[in-house]
Amino acid sequence: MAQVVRSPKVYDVCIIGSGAAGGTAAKVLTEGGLSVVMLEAGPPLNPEKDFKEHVWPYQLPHRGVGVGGEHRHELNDEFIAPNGAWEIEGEPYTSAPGSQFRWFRSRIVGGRTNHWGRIALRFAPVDFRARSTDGMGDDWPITYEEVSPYYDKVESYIGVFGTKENIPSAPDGIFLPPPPPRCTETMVKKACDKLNIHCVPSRMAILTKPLNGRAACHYCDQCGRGCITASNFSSSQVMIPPAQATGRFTLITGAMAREIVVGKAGKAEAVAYIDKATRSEKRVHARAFMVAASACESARLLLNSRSALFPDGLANSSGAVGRYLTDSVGSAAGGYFPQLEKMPPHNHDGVGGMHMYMPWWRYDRKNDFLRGYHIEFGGGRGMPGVGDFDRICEEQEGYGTSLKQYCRSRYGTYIGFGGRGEMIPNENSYCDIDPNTVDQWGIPVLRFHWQWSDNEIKMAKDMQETFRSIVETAGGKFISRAKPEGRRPYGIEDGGVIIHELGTARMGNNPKTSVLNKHCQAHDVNNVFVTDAAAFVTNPDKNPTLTIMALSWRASEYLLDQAKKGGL
Amino acid sequence: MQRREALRLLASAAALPLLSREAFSMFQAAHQQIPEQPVLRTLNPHQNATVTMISEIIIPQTDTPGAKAARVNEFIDLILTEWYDEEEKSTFLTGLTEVDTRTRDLFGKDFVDCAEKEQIEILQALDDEVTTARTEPRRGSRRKRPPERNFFFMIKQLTLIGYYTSQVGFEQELHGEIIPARHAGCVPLEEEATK
Repeated sequence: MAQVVRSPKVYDVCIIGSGAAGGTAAKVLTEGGLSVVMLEAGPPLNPEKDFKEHVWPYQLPHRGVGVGGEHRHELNDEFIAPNGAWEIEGEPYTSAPGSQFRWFRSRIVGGRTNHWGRIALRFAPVDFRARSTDGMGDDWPITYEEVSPYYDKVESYIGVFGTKENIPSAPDGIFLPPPPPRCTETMVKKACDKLNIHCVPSRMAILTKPLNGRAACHYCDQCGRGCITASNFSSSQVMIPPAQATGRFTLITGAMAREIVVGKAGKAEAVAYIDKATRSEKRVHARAFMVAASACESARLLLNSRSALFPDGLANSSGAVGRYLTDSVGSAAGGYFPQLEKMPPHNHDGVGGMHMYMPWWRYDRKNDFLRGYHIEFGGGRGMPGVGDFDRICEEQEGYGTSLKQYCRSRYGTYIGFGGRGEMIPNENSYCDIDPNTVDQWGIPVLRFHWQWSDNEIKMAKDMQETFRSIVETAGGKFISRAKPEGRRPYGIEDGGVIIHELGTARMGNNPKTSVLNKHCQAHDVNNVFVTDAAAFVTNPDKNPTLTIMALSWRASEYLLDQAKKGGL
Repeated sequence: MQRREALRLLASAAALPLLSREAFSMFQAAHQQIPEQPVLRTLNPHQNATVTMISEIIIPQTDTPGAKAARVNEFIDLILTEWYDEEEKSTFLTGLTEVDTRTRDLFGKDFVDCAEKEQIEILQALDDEVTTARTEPRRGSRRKRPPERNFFFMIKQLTLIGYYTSQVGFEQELHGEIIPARHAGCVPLEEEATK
């Protein structure tokens, strides 16, 4: 039987989760004068000890891929701080029969911002007006113009490089100068120019100039492993430290939130959490709560917060919690480019990720699918990793000098392309509580239901065709494993794989069909806010993190304003 | 430079663009997680000698060092010990033993004692078998990829992985190196150094 230990202190705000949403709220709320306690399910992060961005494969026990090699092509390899995994021991999730969904979760201070791609794209005005534009999905209760000042604040504070392009699908922001394109990117851009596909400097949360006390990038190409100089953005290194500096911030790590406890008056009073170190249940009290545990984890917490007043879960009178779950449409292919074989040694490092990308370019044309996608790409002579030569091994017979020469000539001649497209919410894609499964802390787990619709499949098909035309126009040989049929038609990834899952506590003006109002505040319980991507109404072809931070910043300012008026 | 000093420089970051190779290697050494002299844990001396020879034939010394110099045999021992499951390990070790069976049948001696010409003859036969398996459709298999449970395919794959992710394979064969802390776009490294 878990022992209940009551904490006597009442904080102004309790934030659940320390990632993009939680970190932003912590900074804004503490700097605004409120006392904040943050619960994080994982351990603290120590960049000096945990980050291995300058380590080579041969310096790691299993060349980077982990015991059993199970971390090949995964995100939790030995190069990366222990910041997340597709499967967490003792903390399962389930999928309904026929549903393919994967859920990447982080249990560490900073959450998924420690590894994310740093791609920082604004949503476009049309993205907030989906239903008005094509009749599908819903409009947001806020417009681009309302969010834009918060994009400005986030970009100015965290630092995003890019260029002003005046592309309607990809609004310009406040940008640092971009890094110059690599050879592979110059080559692909030439092909895109011929095809009338926009190919412009990417927009990434990586400093090309010093900013707010953080050093500029040192171009080691390993952002995904974490950055010891904090030259790229992570909540752990950029949002949490200023909160700590106020002296009004308390961080509780190893704290797995189980339930938001509601008082008799129908307001939230405390969070009941499992202190993992002692396996005991504790409570932390606050006047307001910001749920920022990641879209699905936040939905899970709300659904598990059942009481006499809220029998279907907190803030769920609409039944919309867990519904409207979407992920980005992802499909990938690549090309072999013989002209890259003969190049003298070049610097193919750079920032960790792409210097160029293709924003959606057919925004004013009739397509056979709705909405759009952008393309991310990369290649060249990076640090060879386990798996890089698998293809040669699979396809090339022989051994000896000829094989060695072949490997040398093929090294760095591959460029990969990935599409990221908009999924329209459908009634078959959602998460709910699995009635038969609990995790090691006794907390009921999520069960995922997933189905792509025809629109997404058509988009994946279009991506494959575009990749082929770019590769062939650039003088390469198209390589793709995607097939029109099968479980993943046209190479469409399983749900969740792109790690842009969102929409599970969406905002809206109508309390009957939405969970939150336009300030990310629960319709049913006015001292509960959900500020992560659960609040999103649509999932446009832009990576969600920048918008998560903008919405969390906006909600935090609203909460500060309420507090000043005595509304806490 | 002391380790602490290297870490301080990295953390202070203002000095980063000026950071020397020495500091980078110091930082790497601080994170080094493997012992300098690994002890073989699965392969016995005879198996190790056979693996070393086969991998050196797959990636031989040319104008750059080969698999032996990159200590691919130690990597393979690590994989057998900590990566492969029991079935994969057994397939590999059985296949390794069969190499000797073949050479004894044909030449009356173990693989390691064969002349180079004889060794090549055996490896060519093994490689041909992989090619055949790859080109012929496999019944009852959902994977269309080549035979991952074939000894020669396994040792070839492990040799490539072990070689190209080694310091020798990366720095000497692929001419990789720690690149200066800047990026000047699409220009050869020699020119970038002068920018």
